[in-house]
Amino acid sequence: MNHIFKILKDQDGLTTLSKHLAIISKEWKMTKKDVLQLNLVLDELITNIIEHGGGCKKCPIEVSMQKTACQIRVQLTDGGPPFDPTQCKSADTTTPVESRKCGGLGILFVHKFSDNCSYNRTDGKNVFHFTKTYKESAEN
Amino acid sequence: MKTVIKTEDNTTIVSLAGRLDSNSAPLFEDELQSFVVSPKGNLVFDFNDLEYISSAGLRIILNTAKAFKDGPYCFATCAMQDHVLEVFEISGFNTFITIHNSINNSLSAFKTKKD
Repeated sequence: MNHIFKILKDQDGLTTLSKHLAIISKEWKMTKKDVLQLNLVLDELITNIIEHGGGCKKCPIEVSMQKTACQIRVQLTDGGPPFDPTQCKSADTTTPVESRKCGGLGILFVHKFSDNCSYNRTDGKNVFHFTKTYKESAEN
Repeated sequence: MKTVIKTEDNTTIVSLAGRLDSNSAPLFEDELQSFVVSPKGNLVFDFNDLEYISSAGLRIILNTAKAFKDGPYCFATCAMQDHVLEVFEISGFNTFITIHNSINNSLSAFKTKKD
């Protein structure tokens, strides 16, 4: 099963993401916990592209999601300047509050809640892949 | 996201409902300014109805914790849903931000500290 959608680089981007995740979470019988974790990974990656990616503001980010037996495979494609999120440094979670910085939390969540992250630059576009392992909910 | 702000026992209670992400964070940060720039009492964030938080929301929580760190007043959070608690723990925020089970626990803890 595939689900493909586009997200504009504006303040409605995350709302669009949530609406699509609500749809697939029902179709794919995801637990609330898995949906929120997947939402967080995509939120952090998309927010990063919107705020720091530059490039064409009117060119949407394409999100392609594919469900297999126990995994969701996700591909994010955007036409901004080359940017590899996997090279970003994760936050040091042991730093005391007075010297704690805000940066690096987003990529920390990406690594924590996804598997097999990879980046490549293809045809002038940033292409980011990750997978998320999940179990179907018994409730849906 | 919706916020409700009220004061009780020298404590400002900020109740958040919905999603604290990069869309809602700027407005929330503005709403907090008067309580964080120069704290005049205790502050507690009631997360009972907060379903979701991202790094954009955590940035505001961190700055709030820093503002209260060396002052005379207390800052705490309470009533976290599982997802929000998980994000706090992964971030290490639970090591420097007090998390109570309920708003009543927060108010009791503040009162005990004052007494």
